[in-house]
Amino acid sequence: MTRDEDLAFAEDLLQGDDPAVLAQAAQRLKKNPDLRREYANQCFIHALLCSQTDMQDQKASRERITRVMQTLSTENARAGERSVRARRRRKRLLTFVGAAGSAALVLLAVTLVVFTGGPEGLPKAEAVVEMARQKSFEDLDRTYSLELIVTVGTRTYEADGWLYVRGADKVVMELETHRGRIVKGMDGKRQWVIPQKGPIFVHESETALQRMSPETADLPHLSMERILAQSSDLSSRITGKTEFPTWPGRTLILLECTPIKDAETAKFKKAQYMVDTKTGLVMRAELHFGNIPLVDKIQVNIQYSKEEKRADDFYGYEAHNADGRPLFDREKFREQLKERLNRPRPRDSRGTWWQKGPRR
Amino acid sequence: MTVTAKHAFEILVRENADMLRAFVFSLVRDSNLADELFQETFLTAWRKLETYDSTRPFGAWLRGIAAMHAMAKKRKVAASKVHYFDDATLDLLEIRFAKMSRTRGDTWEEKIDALNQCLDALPKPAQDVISLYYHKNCTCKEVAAKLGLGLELIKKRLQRTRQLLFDCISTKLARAGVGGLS
Repeated sequence: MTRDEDLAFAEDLLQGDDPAVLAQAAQRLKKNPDLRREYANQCFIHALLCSQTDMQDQKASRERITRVMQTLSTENARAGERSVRARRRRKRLLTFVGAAGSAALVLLAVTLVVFTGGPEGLPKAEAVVEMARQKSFEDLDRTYSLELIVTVGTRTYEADGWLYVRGADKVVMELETHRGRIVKGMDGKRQWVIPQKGPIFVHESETALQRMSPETADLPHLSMERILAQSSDLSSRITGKTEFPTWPGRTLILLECTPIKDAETAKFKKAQYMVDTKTGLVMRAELHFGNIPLVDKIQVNIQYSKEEKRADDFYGYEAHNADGRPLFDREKFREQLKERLNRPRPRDSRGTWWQKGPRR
Repeated sequence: MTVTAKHAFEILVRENADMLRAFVFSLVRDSNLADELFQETFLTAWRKLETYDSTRPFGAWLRGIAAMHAMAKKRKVAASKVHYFDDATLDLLEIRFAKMSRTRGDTWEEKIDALNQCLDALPKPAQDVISLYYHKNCTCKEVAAKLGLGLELIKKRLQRTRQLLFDCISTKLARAGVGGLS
């Protein structure tokens, strides 16, 4: 690309009316730091010029400030109402996000429960929670270690893995199970799962993905989704403050959440969180599930590991498809199924199965 | 929060409103969304005032909150309403706004006085394009029609003018001892 082409691209990106330019933006800016600088310079001057025009309308400026101050004055009076709105907003977001196994959602879950059911009067609890909420939105790549303990009767199966998150909608979960490796993720739009063997399942809807891939149904995040759906029914309490040997010098708030309604039948049983009081980051979480078909109980332990910049395409399935597996083709599968169902079945002289009479 | 704290906060709002407005315009295109972001940033700042480290500039703290809100909004609103930005671009923008904030002057209007001086020094064709596009709020197509020029030429002229302005402001800031913008 010549400099002129780059400059034209930066201008088109600033104008923002060409979707093709927007689609290429991340990749081109990443590859070309000069182009990024040029774009930032253009944005900066554009903003100064816009604000210069804006400042000329002094009446509008005054009104904006008055509006802010009026809102602050009524802030306390409307606190209850805002809390309901915030809860709805978060619920909507959580429905959209879907993959509830992500640490991002664990963070949001903490936010929800403390906001809705947290005990009052605890020092800085709200500030910590607000920070946790902000943390979960940060466009940073965080890594958590993951431990899954499944109990079936007297047997226990363990699986270890890693959870990679960026913001609230980019997730990759790698799990080493006794039957092989499962990788599941979400790239902001699509959910995907690479099972131990066979094709890769990709879909925009979590529910459709579950129907397509039974492997997904075994993963614990399904239960987390339920928790989040009923999060307003959770009771939470801060059980104390502690230090954890892995992070010396950090004070961690211990938070415990349990369901209020239908505790006997609910899949989610209990969650224990350790939240860093300084940063608002959830450093550790223990989630307990029960009432799962074919399984007695599942425990998921998540522990914060590090913050490390990852490539944008890391959260897509393509980055994890080292052995070049094909995608599961729903249409082709449907066609094959139809063909199989329509195929005339050979009948023997003894008639069909129901004509044979009961088995002896 | 006491009445005194609210009054003190109101002073901070008045001092930083124009700067924040400018920063918001570097992130969003839509004016309604800009208003929303402006309001939400101050509300969050008010709610989290106790966590603010008073040894650091208040403006930078506000910009951090605004960037966070903008990042969250980016996922929910149509792409046409926001400018493209990511973490690295936000960092570059922050450097530029921080340097601009360090220039002499009590208000944002005084701080961006260099922009006015540079605008006056622009050649006439460039001034016309800026005036129509920014001050009269015309689109690129409307500017092209009014000046009887091609659309691509108008886009190029706009870009070159911004580039000229950036270099001019950067030189002025460097001379004032703040350092260049980039």
